[in-house]
Amino acid sequence: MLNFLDTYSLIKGQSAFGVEVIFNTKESYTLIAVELKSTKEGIEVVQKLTDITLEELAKKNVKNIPLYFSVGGKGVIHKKVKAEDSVTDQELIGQVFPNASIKDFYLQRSKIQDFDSWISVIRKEVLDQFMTQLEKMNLYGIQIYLGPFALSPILPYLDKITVLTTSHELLIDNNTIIQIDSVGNVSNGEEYNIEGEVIHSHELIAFGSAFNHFLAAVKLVPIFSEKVTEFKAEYFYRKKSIVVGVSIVAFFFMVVVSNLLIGQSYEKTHNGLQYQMNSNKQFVEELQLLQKEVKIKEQFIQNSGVARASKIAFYTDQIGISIPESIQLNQLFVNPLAKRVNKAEDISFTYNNINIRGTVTRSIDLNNWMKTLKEYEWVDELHIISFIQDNMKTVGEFEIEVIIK
Amino acid sequence: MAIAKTIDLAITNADFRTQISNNKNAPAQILIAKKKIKQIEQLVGTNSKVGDIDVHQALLESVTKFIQKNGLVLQDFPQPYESFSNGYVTKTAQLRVEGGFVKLLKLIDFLEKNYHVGTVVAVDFKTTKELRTRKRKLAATIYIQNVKTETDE
Repeated sequence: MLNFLDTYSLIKGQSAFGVEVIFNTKESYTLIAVELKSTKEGIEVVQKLTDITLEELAKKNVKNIPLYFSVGGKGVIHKKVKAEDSVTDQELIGQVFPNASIKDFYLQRSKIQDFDSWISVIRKEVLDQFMTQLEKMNLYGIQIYLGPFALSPILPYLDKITVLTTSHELLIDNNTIIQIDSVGNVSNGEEYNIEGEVIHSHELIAFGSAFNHFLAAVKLVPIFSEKVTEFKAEYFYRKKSIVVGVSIVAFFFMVVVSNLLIGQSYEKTHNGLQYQMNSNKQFVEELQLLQKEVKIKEQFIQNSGVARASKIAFYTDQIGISIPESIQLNQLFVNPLAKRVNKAEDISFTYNNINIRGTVTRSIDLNNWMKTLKEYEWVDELHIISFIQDNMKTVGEFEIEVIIK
Repeated sequence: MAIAKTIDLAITNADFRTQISNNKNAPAQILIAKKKIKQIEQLVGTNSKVGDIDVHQALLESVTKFIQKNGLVLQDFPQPYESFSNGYVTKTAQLRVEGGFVKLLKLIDFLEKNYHVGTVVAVDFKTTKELRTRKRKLAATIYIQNVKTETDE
């Protein structure tokens, strides 16, 4: 779940325990632990615990920080081999114990150079028993190394040819362990200054193991154990649950607080705007009434004839002078009534319209007269409503309509 | 405070801002609207001068002199039609005058130019044949309209 988060220091954690486990016999072991913490200044030693039990370690690990174990002592065998990277673990174990099965051993590879590698092995029954104890104590052993190889990330800081650990003297070349010599159970030891932290040789492997939490060894392929994978997964799952949970709570808290602050701000603005709205209300209502009145009156005036400049005399005069002798008018209605008037409300006129009725002896005369009328610039359209002439001996009756521009 | 309420407030505030911005010029727009109404009322002849005049009487006074002088005959001069709409009173007077075409035209021209109480809105020229003399006679029905606000009545 959310594995991409595992690399983030917030999930990974700022602290780690490095523990050196030295097996004296199959069942008994000595523990040396160093707790490291990453701060702004660098990596600091928080506590050093020598010759403690797992129970004591569990008590000291109050924050349940991850543990990096380096297992050494009896039962752990290191051998330098020549092998390609593609060589299987079974083939490698064969180089240490001919006819042995990989099912019975945990195997760790640590590359020296080219085809040279260190192979470290331990019987599964020994380490599984130890891991069961870890599980019981709720200690998250998220990485288990064999021998002193967890030191590789700190070797550049030591800058030594020989390095003394609890039980070995290591020969270093090009920041790689090239030889391991046992120094027996009793060693006076040395002190190493690593970036301001003074580390005694018997704490060095524990320190180096914990250091892998911040800077992992590159050339080292640690043992594969389902239990360790399980420890690791459980540790990260627990950390992610806490971080994601806290993040969600923090997010919602932020949302609630932001909403409260924004809401208060909006409320204040709202009150101010409401006040402005109320101040303008009187004007707005008055304006709406006036605009309505203007609209009604404009429409009324447009439909009425009073606003138009009366040019009836002009139109009538123009028509009068254009009439040929052959045409006799019976009616000329400028802006005729839109309908028969029965009551006052019925009075409405068809503006810009002239209705002409009359008689003519020949239709051609009517046609010519209409052509004359059409030439007036104020005439927009001209229509014949009707023309009736029974025979050539009687006059024809016509009705035409002139539309004024 | 619920988030929905905050969003509602934000939307309401935006709406208020738009309304306030739109109503910013309300006082100026009120003046413009009032000016428009005044212009319309001036257009329809509702100024105080005209308000008190009896339109029918004024029309009669205007035409009788002209008619007498030009030998026209005022055949009909009924009470004007009166209708009410949108706060206006519309009075439509009609007068039927008999006479020659040219003289009738002059009368219409006279009313258009000199009669300020109303507007000539329509004219109906009609010829009739007198049965006894078989002579054709011309008459014009002139429609004059006057519009006033109801308050002037």
